[in-house]
Amino acid sequence: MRLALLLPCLLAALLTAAGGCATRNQLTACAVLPDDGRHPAAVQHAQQTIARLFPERYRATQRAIITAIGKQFTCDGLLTVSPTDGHHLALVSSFGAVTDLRVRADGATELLKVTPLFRADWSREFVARDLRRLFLPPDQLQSAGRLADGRLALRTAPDAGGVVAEYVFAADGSRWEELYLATGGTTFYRAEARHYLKFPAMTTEVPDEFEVSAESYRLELRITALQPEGPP
Amino acid sequence: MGKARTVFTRFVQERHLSLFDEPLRSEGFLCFQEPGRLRWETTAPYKSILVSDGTGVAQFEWSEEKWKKLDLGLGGALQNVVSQIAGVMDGRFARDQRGYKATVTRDADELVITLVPQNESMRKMMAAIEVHLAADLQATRRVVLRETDGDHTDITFTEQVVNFVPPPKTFDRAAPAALAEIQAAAHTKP
Repeated sequence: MRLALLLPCLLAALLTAAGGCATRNQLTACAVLPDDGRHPAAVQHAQQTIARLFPERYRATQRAIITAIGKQFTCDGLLTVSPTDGHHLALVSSFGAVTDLRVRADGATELLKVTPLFRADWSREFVARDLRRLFLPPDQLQSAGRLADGRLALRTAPDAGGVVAEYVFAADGSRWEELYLATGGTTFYRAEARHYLKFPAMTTEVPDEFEVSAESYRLELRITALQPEGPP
Repeated sequence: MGKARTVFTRFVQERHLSLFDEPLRSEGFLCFQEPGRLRWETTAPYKSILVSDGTGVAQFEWSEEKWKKLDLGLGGALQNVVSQIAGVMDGRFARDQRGYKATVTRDADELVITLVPQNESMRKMMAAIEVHLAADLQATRRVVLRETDGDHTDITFTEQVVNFVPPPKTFDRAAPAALAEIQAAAHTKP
C-alpha cells in the first residue's frame, strides 16, 4: 500500500549517499583467452541468442531488491517493449512511484516522471543503464575469445564514453550467462543472467533472474511475469 | 469498523500508472491486530511479507525456496507506511480531522469516506484516499489512493474475517508464522 507521504525523501537520501559512496564494490574482470577462430558457429549462435533473447513486443512485471550502503529496499517494475515505443519502465515502491523512463527505439533515454523518491540523475545513470544492458540487445558484438572453463566471450566496441561490454555465453553460444562493463581496463559492472524459464505463450526460455553488482549498489531483479504481445 | 480488534483479509492491489494501459497487479493477505500490529503478505506474482509488531518493521522476500530477511534501510519510513495502513483498518484516518478533511457518501450497499489531506506538501502527492466500507461498517471493502499526477492504487479486500485469534508469531519480526497457520486460525475462530 502506498501511504507513506511524510518520509519520501529518505529513499532519495539513501540512494544519493550510495551514489557518492567512497567504498565501491570491487569487481574482477573475467579472464578471456584470445579467440582461436575455431568456433565461428558458436560465435554466430551467441550473436543470435542475445539478439533474440526477448520478444520484439512484450509486457513484463518485475520485482527488484536494491542494496545500497548495506541497506535494502524493494521495488516493483512494469516494462513494456515495442519496436516503435522502445523500452518503457516504471518502478514503484511501497512509498509510491519511483521513476518512469523510456529508452527509445533510437537509443535515447527519456525521463518521463521524476518523483521526490528518486533523483533524476540516478534514474538516467543507473536505472536506464540496467534497463539498457539487461533488456536491450547490444550492437556489433564480436568474438573476444573463451574463458578457461570453455565459455564464450563476445565484446562490443567502446561506446562514446569508452565503455566496453563483454558478454559471456555458454560454450555453444546457446545461453547468455554474464555481462561485464569496463572502462579504461577497470570493471565497474557485473551482471549474471540465470534461472532460464519459459513463460506462458513464449516459445523460448528467458533469464528470469539477474544479479547485478555495480559501482555502489547491488540489484537482484526477477521477472515475475512476461507476456509477448502482437502488433497493435 | 472500530469494533474489529483483529482482521484477516485477502487483498488485490492494482497500481494504475497514468503512462501505462494496464495496471501493476498483486495479491495477498492482510492481517491486522489492534493497536498497530500488521502483516501485509503478497502471494502473487511474487512472495513478500511486510510485518510490524507495533514497535518496528521487518520485510522478507521469498528467494531460492526460502524466506530471506531484508536489511531494511528505510525501516522508519516503512513503519510509517504500516501505521497508515493500520489507520485505515481501524478507522483512525477517518477520525483525524486535523490531518484529513472527510466527506461521507452512502448508498444502499456501502459507505464511502473520502479523505483529502490537509497538509499542503502531502496534498502535492496524494489528492485523496477513498475508503469503501460495507453498509454495516463491519468490513473495509476497498481503498483507493488517488495521486495528484493521475496515478491511483486500488486495493480490494475480500474474504474478511474479524476478531479471530492470530497465531503467536503472526507479527514476529524475526521469524513470522506461515501464512497457512494464520489462515487456519482465521477460519477456526470461536
